[in-house]
Amino acid sequence: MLDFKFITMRTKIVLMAVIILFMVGCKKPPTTVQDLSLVSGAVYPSTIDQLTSIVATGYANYRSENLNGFQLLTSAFACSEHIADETGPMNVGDPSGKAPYNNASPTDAWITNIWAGFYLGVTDANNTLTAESFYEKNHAVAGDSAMLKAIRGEALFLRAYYYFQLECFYGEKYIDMKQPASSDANILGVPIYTQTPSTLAQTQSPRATARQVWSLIISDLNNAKTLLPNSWSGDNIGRVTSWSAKGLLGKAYVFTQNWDSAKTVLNDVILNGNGPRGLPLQLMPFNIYKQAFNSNVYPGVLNANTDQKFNQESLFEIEVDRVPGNGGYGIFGNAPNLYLTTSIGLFWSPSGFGDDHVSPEVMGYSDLYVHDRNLLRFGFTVPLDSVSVSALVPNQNYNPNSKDSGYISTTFVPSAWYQHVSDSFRNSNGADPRLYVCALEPYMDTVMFSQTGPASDRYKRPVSKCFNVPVPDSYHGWSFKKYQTLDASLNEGTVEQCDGANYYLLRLADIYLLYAEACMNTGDQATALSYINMVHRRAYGQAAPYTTPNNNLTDPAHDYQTLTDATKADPSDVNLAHNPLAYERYAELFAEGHWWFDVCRWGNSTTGTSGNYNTDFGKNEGTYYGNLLPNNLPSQWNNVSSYSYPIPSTEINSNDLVSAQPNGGQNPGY
Amino acid sequence: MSKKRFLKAIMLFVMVLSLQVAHAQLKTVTGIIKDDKGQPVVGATVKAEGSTEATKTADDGSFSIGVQPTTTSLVISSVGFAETTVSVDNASTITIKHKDTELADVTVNTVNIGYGTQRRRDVTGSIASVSGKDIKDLPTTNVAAALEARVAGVDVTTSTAEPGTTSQITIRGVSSLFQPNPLYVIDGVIQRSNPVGTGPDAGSNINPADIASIDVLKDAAATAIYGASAAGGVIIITTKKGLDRKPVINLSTRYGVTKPLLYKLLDRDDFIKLQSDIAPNSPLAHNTETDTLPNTDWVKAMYRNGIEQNYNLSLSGAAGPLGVAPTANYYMSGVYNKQTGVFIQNSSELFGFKLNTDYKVTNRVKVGETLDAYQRSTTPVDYAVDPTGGSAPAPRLNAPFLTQPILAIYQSPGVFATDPAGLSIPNPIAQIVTKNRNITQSNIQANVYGEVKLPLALTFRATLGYTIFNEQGNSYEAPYVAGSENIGFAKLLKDMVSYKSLLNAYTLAHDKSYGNNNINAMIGYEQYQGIYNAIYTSETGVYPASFSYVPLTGAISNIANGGYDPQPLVESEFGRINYNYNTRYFLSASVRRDADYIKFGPNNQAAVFPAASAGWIMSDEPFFKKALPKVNFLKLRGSYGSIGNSNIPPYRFLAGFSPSNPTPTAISNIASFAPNSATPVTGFSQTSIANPNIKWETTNEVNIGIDGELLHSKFFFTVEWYNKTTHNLLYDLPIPTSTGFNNFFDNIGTSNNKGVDILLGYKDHIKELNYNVTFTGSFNKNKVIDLDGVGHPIRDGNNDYGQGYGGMMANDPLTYTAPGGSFGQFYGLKVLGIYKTDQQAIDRGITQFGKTPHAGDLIYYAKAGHTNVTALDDTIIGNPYPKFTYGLNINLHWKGFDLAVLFHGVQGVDIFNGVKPYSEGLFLQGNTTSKVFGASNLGTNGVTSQPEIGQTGPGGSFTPDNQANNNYSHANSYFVENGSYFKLQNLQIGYSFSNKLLNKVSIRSARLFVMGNNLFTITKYTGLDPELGSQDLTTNGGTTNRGIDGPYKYPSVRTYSVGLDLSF
Repeated sequence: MLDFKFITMRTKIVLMAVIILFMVGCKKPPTTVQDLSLVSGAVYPSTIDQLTSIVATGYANYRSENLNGFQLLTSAFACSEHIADETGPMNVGDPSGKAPYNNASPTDAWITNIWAGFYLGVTDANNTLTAESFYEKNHAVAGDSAMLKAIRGEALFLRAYYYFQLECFYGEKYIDMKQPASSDANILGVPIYTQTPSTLAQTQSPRATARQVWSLIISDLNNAKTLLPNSWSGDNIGRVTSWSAKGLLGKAYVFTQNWDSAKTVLNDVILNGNGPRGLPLQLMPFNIYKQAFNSNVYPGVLNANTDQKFNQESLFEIEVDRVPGNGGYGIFGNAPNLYLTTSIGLFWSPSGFGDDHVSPEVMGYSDLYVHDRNLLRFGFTVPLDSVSVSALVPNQNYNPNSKDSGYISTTFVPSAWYQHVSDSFRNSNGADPRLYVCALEPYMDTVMFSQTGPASDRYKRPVSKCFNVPVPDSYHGWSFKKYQTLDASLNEGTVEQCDGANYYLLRLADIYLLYAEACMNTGDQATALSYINMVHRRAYGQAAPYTTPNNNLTDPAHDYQTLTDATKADPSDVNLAHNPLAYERYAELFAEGHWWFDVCRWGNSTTGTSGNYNTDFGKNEGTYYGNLLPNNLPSQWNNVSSYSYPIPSTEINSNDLVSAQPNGGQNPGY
Repeated sequence: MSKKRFLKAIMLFVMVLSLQVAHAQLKTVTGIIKDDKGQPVVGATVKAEGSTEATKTADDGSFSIGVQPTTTSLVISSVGFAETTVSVDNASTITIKHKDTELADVTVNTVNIGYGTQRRRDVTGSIASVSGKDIKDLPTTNVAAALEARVAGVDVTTSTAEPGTTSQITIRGVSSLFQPNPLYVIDGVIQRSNPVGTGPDAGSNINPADIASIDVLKDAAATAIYGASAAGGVIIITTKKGLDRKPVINLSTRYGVTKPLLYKLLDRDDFIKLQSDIAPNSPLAHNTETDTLPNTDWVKAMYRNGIEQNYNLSLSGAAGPLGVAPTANYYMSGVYNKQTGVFIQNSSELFGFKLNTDYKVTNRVKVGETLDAYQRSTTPVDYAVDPTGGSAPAPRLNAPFLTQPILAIYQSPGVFATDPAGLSIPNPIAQIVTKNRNITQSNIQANVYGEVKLPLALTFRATLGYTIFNEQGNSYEAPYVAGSENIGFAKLLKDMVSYKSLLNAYTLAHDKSYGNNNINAMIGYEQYQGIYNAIYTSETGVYPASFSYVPLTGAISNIANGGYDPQPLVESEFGRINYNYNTRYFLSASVRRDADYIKFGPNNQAAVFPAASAGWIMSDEPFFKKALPKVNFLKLRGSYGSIGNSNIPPYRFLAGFSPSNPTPTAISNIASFAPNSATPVTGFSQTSIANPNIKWETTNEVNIGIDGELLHSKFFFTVEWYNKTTHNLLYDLPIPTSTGFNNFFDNIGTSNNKGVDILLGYKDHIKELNYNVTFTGSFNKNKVIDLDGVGHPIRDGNNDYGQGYGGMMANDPLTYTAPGGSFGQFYGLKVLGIYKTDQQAIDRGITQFGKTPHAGDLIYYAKAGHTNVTALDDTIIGNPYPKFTYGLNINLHWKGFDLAVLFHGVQGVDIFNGVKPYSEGLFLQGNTTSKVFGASNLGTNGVTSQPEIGQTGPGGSFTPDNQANNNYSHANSYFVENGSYFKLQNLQIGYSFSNKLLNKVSIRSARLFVMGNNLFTITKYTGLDPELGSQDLTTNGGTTNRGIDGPYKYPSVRTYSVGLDLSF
């Protein structure tokens, strides 16, 4: 029995009001949703500019934290090849302090990070290829075709470049591609991805063989060289050209001992190539070369460098912008999107004397300095005890109030004898002149800490021994100069806290030496010697012509007479003392990220046993450099493992097709 | 049925009913039914004597019944109470008495089952309850922490004492790599977090003092009514309501001191002694003139005693015309809580306000609202990673191992000391005090409901809820120079995040008895929508020490990040039917369909979650009463249900482009193709790989339980067995970095949890001593059934020092999850002993990490055929999940005194003591504890029970451990310890003053208490506190990184409090 009497008018009103009120807030379910934090791939890229923004990631990635933004030159190259010594175990790039001992572990952060960094570059390139196809299919308009071709070429070049680096660091061995493929069928390279994965299955890829990796590099570069323009103009001169592709292709041939192909393509570059601005390739004269790694924003300070960006020696270069106001702690500052720099300058920064004229101060972190044995390699043989504290003498000219003159001194300076000897090494070719392009000598070189601080801070200061060396008297402690900012401390507020110059990733001097190596290995000793000498001769300030190959000019005072002639390196230096080719690669390309690859390819090849090829090349290096910081222990070189970096355990743990390979996908010895 | 049609149907139905007005001549009797303690009795049956009219009492005990004019008496019956007959004229307040042979007094007699209540004896799912009065005085503002050791199957660990943080709560084991927190339902409203960004922290937005009762829904059948959100269990909180016509004012206060549990690091002399032992040639070694060196106790400088204080004031009551049950009730309260952390410059302050009111508009229409507002202001230990770029380093450390006692904090007042050249030791005090941080979170939640009683025993209820959450973060980082750390310029960070959400919920319930067939059915619709809006800004070169954005010349402003998303939307339809015959045989079934539009792609947005359960009260059977008269109550019940989990980040089914190419901490996404002045190109990259096929994670659970009471209900117990399997485990699968991406979202496997929950209780009195002992215990075993979608083990856990310093086992994952085992087992080298002699190692012929070990090095197990031990020889070395957890709760009352003791125990668990490598070994150039002097070969030591910490070679060179045998630098079983413990979690002693005394000063009651928390622990664990949760809840939901005691952890504390509760 139902009774509805209680439902009064009042109740009805309330009820209706409640229902109406509460229905108001209801929301219709959406038909589609978007991730509003992203730009949808369904519409992007729809203009050439947007497509350019995708190819730009491949260039920008080189400056990322995992690569030269932090770890590549600083941790991987510098420590492995010993151009640098880590001052302490707190080195942020290598907190375990293991990198210098050539005894990396698969879990070391820098091992993991540069792997990820290079592969991000590969992905950037693959993304570009996908985006280019998407754009071409959906949005291309008449007149786009030349640009699309070029962008495809850039993507292929960048992919080849990143695989090149990956293979050289992580590949099991360098192979001889003259040999039949069966001879290196078991030599593992790195995993290959030629497209962006879109399914889980596509994310798994085994390590390809070294031959497959090199073949991909070579085929990408062959394609790139036909797609890329010979030069760019205007705001695009920093983009890669067909000459960049040919240069890198020649390098890939040399690294795989394919001498004949190398000679053909390198010779083409040398004879016909042009630089970024469309002018013929040629070596910079030494007076420009010695400034090319440090550009000063402020005219009239230090050696008054002019800007040498994208010059006629350059084939592939990364732009570093020292625009005031775009500063920060390398890439780690407060507006990272604005910075066109890396962080090498931050970690390699020089040390100079502070306001008390006694204590060293850093211009950045100064975590790394030039390992002392490098001085010996460049021929600087002044004994260490001449710059110990007890050997210093009071500075007769010391004037604490002399700031206005633009120069101050320290209260103590090296003895007159040292100054004299040092001067002769510097000015009379006692040492290889390139030493002074690469490094800063304490007391004798100068830096400036500030450009915007109070006037009393804007003066030159002598370079000190590296601030962070543990026992100063036990080290020469020179600071790096290449790529360093010498005219402003990175601690300075808003000045361009930035690396000192553009990074040359491929330049003509490298091409000359590669060509020489190809000639040498095909019996053409004379041409080999001639190209080695051209690079060598430039360092001694000999007049050009640097543009004419096979020139007959000689410089008997400095030229190497044979391919086994003595170099500036100390006679005890097994690898370099009588090896002009190796020496020139070391000295010419010092601190540019090349020497480690040379050490490994000469020491760790499937076939090479003559000439530079010597399985103990790496061990000799380890022995030569003696004790290494941060632990002041000798190298732990192991011929089985040290030539290849370990595959990062994060990769093995997540890539089943790698972990299923022999030795768990790991390189031998790890 | 589409949502729209469904709604139309409900509306039409309701309208038709409301318009069809019938006329009959009944008279209405209203009243309220209370038990002998004055508590309202919910769900009691009120029948007209000698007639068929009947009704049930509402949540507040009130009833309204239409009776024939001839009816003179009402018969009140309710399970657990004696049947009572009262005259219609005396019906306004009816008191009924408990029968003493029922569950009645053991726990609250009704249970909130979600969208309705049920008498406890009728419940067929697994539901445990905690009374608000048991937890109101605990020194926490977090519900989860208050539940610690009180409910079988509910594992709560509180491993950090950081003010404002929450405890980790797991109900019936971990099952997921996105292990969800329990769903909190407060007064019928689901507390949803923000799926897009920062949002309200469910469980922290309720003042424990406002809680009347907590019902924990554990099994799938009970939780399935909450469907897709219920995989972590459901915690239903019912807050207090006004009861009494006479307003009650309640004031409670509490004040406590917290003392941190800390390590003691070496002082100057011991530190120098250690340097002499390891590096005899170092300048420090054997230096006797050291008394001029500083002797800094960094631990003491970073930590202090903290304070917790809490003040709570409430006013409650009921109002309405006299002679009938009150037509309105109200409860309002305010809370103030302040905690200063044991870490310097760390505190939290909370203000809260709550209002609950219900009004009876007519006899059939009820409306009410709840209003909650709180503001929590925190000075955190560490600000979240600066979303606009790098932030200056900050320590968050148990002990600052990377310090040296011989370094000073300040070289002169206000000027931080500088390290000597060659040393790069951070100055943690500089890192801490130069940062001025403040996060203010405010949350306002307002809900209104209207409830209409309709014909056909139907009740329609509509709820409208609105929540606004706002977070404002300020962080000012001052420049400083401290040795190797040189922060060049001041930096100000500000962020504002808001999240607003709107809830619409409708239910239609039918509750009626047809003879002995009792039916309670309910259908409902619920929609939840949110809007997220955020901005993060930063500026460098600002005017010092201010949050006010005063730029100096050359300041760099950078509005770098933000977010906006109006899309969060969850729509749900649900229904349930509870049926019982003669209140003896019970059946229940429910189904819920949830659709989440931002978590899953078009084909997987919605999922359906059904459940069914049954119960049988055996003790009501005549044969049973005959056979086992001593058993007062015995119920068998069983259930099966399915629940879901979508606790994942949104939009993982989509991919897109973003102007970022982020690597670990910095963004590098621009390139310039020409010198200097050219306009750089901002790079756009694809940020992730989309998986359009991801779908709900589903858990199916069987639960079988038995509830019983013996010995005149003095002894009571519940034993439950459950078996739940979770399918389609969601996982942010790490993919090879060689793909250029880090993760791929996918459903990858299956896990299982089996266990038994036990509740045993005994209550009685010895003369005036009343006592009540409750034991809760739970056995649980989690197991990964398959990870077919991964194909390889999941590795996680680390023992890093944090913030770019690497660690003693840098990048060495400590746990291993693979099919057949439990989640996150410890993984490393198995230690067989310590080499006693060099010869012993040579004889064994197995190198370790490529080197021949020495005397004093650990002997590692090598897998068959291995002649060199490496990470490939790692094996499972421990299990972080306890086999058995238990709580023991003892309450004593004697005259005015009361004593409450809560013990918490864990049995059969391992801990990875990651602090040990730091406290017994040597980290970089840092400090350690005096245990280091027990190391093998150190100083004059021979081989001891501790492995050597590095090799001191000829000439005094020191080879660090990570270049040698990795005794302290690779995960191994030397660091795995038995983590079982038995802890006195809470001890409360109170005295309630007698009423006579108080009445004179108009105080109804007064209780003074003293309390201690975490007072002592019995354990073999050598670290500071074996109560450990997960290391990182953001990685795999914490499931795979549990039980790791690392150096990067806020310490736990011991708390001593006094308090006073006054009622006026």
